[in-house]
Amino acid sequence: MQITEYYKAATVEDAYQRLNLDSSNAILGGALWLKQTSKPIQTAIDLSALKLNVIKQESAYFEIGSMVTLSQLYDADSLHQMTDNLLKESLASIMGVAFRNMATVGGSVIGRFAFSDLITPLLVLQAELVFYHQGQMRLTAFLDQKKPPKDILISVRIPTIKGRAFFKKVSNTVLDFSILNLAIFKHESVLIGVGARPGIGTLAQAMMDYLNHADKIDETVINEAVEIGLQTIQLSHNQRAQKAYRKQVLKTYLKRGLIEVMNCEH
Amino acid sequence: MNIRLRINGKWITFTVKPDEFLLDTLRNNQIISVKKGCDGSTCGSCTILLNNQPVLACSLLSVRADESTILTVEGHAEEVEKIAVAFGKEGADQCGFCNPGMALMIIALKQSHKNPTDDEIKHYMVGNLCRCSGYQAQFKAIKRYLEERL
Repeated sequence: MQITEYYKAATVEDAYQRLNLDSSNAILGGALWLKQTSKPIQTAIDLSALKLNVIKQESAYFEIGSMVTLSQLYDADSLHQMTDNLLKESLASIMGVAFRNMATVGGSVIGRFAFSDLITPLLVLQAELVFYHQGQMRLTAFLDQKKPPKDILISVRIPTIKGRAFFKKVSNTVLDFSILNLAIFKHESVLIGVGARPGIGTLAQAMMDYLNHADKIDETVINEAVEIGLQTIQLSHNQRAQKAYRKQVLKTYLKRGLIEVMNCEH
Repeated sequence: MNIRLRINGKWITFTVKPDEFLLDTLRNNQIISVKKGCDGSTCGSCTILLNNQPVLACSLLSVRADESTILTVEGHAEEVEKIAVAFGKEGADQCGFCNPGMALMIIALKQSHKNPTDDEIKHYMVGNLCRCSGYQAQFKAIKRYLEERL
């Protein structure tokens, strides 16, 4: 890891201009995984003076500044009340307090880390990203891009939709990266996200379509939905777990999570 | 680049590189109670209190800490002594490498939680690894220290 120059931006425009001066310039989020990168950085741009570390509640959405730390987000009680503690549970599983005091929401999203325990719940909460230059973009669209935009993430917006939620992180040890994570959020429809497959988090679209068009939800329908999920959600292997193991874990927790949020009798 | 840090009550100016981490800045200047363990944001041995919040010195660029207040165990000698006594009474101390980071987390826990439950203690301390003791004795020692401090 090598940084040639450190630059504390005075305004968002200043940060944006500096970012686009050189292809090897980069924005600093929490910089927790910076040491693991090998690509040299010409100018590391710090956004900490831009007051992007604020969570605001508007009528239609919560606006989470990109420099909000995971600890700040963990303490956002009104957001957790609305989301049935979905984000709180996912954040609680991310390393320890000292780590979360440094890691930022923006860095966690822009990093597009395949092991992310934050992206999966954000997907099912239908989060939108607000960029300085490109404007508003759905998180799903951002994740679908091959290369992230050379832009400044200002905030993450979460619609104020109340629902029931389920989150599960499966890992070999408490502090290890996930073998798999699963987030389910049910309001008028149900959204299901699967991450650390080991690929980046994704919505289980075919499974969601099946459930959201079902006349009634019972155990038979849930079993069928789980089968659709297992056939359509792309899983693979890495040093933490084999594909077959992930599939078994996913099967168990998909069923358990759906029964919980759908309020079904087992 | 020059930065200024208030370490354990004393303002000190350092000359640092843009890619230098605070752990190295501190240790290179003889503040060696801050331990280098995993050096990758995982073990908690390098925990310090930055503006009263526990952070990992191994992953904080020194330039980002400019004009901040830093506390290490040397700056909390009286409390750390009491934590050490509690650790001793519960047999929670073996090699001692993780103790400075753990002591600072315990101090931060006490500041942020008036009367923490067992689960809150475990949740708060989960980022501080110990490869000797197995945690049970340390957990008892933390409870003993907190109860005696109430």
